[in-house]
Amino acid sequence: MSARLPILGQEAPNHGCGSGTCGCSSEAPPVVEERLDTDVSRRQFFGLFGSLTAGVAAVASSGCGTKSAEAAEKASLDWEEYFKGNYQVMTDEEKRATVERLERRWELEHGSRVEISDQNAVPGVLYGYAFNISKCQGYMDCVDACVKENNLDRESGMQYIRIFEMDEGTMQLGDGDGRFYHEVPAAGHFYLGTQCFQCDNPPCTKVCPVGATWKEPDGIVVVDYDWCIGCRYCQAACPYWARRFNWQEPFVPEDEVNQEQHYLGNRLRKKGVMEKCTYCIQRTRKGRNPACAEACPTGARIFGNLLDPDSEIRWVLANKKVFRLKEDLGTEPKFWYFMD
Amino acid sequence: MIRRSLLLLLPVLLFSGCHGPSHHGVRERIDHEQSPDQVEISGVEYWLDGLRYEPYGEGDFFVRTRSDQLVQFPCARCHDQPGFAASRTDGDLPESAHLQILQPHGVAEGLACAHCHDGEDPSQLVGQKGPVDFDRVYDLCGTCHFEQRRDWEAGAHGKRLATWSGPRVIENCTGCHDPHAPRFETRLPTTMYPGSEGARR
Repeated sequence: MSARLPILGQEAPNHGCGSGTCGCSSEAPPVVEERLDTDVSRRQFFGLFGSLTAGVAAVASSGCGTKSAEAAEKASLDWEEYFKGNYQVMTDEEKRATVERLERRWELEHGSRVEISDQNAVPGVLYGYAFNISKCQGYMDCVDACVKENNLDRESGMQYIRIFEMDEGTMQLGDGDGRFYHEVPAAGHFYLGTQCFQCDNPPCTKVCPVGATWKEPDGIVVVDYDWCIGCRYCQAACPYWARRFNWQEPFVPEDEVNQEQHYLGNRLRKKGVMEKCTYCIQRTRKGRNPACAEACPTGARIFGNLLDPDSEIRWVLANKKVFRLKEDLGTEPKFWYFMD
Repeated sequence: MIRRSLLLLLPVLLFSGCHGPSHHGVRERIDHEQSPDQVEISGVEYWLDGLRYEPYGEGDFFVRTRSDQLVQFPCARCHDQPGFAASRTDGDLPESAHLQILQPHGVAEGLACAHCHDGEDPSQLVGQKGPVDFDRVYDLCGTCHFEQRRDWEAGAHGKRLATWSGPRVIENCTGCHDPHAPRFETRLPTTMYPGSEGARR
C-alpha cells in the first residue's frame, strides 16, 4: 500500500494558529512522541498527525475566535479524507466513516443534507441491460433523466448516454449521427443508445495505474473519485467511449442536486477525475430501475438480474435475436441490443 | 531439487488462470452462477407506493390499473346518441377533447368504434368473448396484437414500473399507447447532445 500513498509535500491546513500571539501552544503534545516510538506505518502516522493538528486547530479556533468551530471541523474532515484508503480495501466501518465525513462536509459547505450510501453489492445479482432498437424513438428522455439523477456537470453538458440516429439497413455505428436535433423519429431511421456497458472483462480497469476503478461483484464498473488521479488511461482503453472526464469543477445548481447518492455513484465529483455510468448504482442496489429505464416512454430499455432465470432480461436473451457492440474484442459487455 | 520443484509447478501453470471471466463469455458465467432463488431486497415495495395495480392471470405479476386514470369518463357523458354521436359538442367540452379519435387506428383496416366499444354504452369495452374491463384492456388489444402480448407478458415489450426486483408491476397497454392513436407521436427530443446543431442555435 505504501506505493499508493499520496505525495506528502502538502502542509497541514493552516487554521490561523501557531503564531504564538493567541496564547495557544503550537507544540505537539507528548502523545506524538510516545506513538512514534512504536512501529507505525506512514499512513497511521499521518492519520494521527492529522487528527492532532485538527484538534489543536479546533482548540485554537475556539480560544482565539479567529475561525469558527465549523471551519475547524471542516479542516479536520478534509484532513481525514485526504489520508483515507482506497474504497476497495476499506472495511465496512471505514466505508461508513468516510460516507459520514462526506455527508457532514457537504452540510458544512452547503447547508443542505445529502444521503450518501455505502451499500455493498447484493449477493446473487449480476446486472444486465437490453436495449430494443425497434422501440427507441430518439426522444432522449433517458439522457435528460440520467443527467438529473447522476448530478452530471451542467456547464459542460456532460452526458453518459449517446443516442445515435442510424440509417435503416445499416449497422455501422460510425455512420450514425449522435448530434441530431430535429423531430423524431425521422423517417427511414432507427435509434441506438450507448452508455457504459459494464463489461464483464473490462479493459478500462486493467489500465488504471492506481486501482481507482474496478468491477464490483454485481458487475458494475465503478470509480473511486477520491482515488482517481485523472490520468485518463481508462478513457483511452474503453472501446466504447463510455468514460467521461471532468475538465472543470462540475456544476450542479443547488436546488437540482439529487440528494440520494452513493459513494461509487452520483455523489458530487470534482475537477480532474473520471466518471461514468454506474447503472445508477444508488438506485439499482435498492432494487429500483435505473433512471434511464424509468424515464423511457417507449419501453425500449430492459434492466434486470442476469442470474435470475425468470427475469425479463433473461427472456430477451433466450428468445430474441440479440447482439452486442464489438463482440470480437472479448470485452463481454453486459448490454445487449435486440429487435422485436 | 530445483528441477523437481519446477516439475511440480508445471500442472499449476497449466491449469491456473482458467477461472477468470476473461476466458469465458458472460453467458457461460450466467449459466454457471444463476440461481432460481429470488433475490430479496428489503424495502423494495416502498418504490411501488402510490401505484395501483392488480394481479395478472394466476398472479405471477401485476398490471397497472387503468380505470383510475381515465379523465374523460364515462364516455356516455357526451357520446349519448346512437352511433357514438355526441349531443354535447359546444362550450361544455374542451374543443380538442380527443381529436385523435377522428382518425382512430385500424380504420383503414376496417376497424370501427364498435369493434372495441359496446354499441349501447361506449363506456363498456367489448372483445370477441364479451365485456372487457378497462383494467384488463390487454385482453382486447391482444386479440390482434398477440405477438406484442406474448412479448409483454414475458417482459420484452412494455415497461416494468419502478423496480427490477420484488413484485413485478408492468404498465398496461394503454399506459403507454393512446388506444385511439397507438403509434408514438413525432416530436423534438427532450434534450440534445451538447455539441449538436440544436444546442448551437
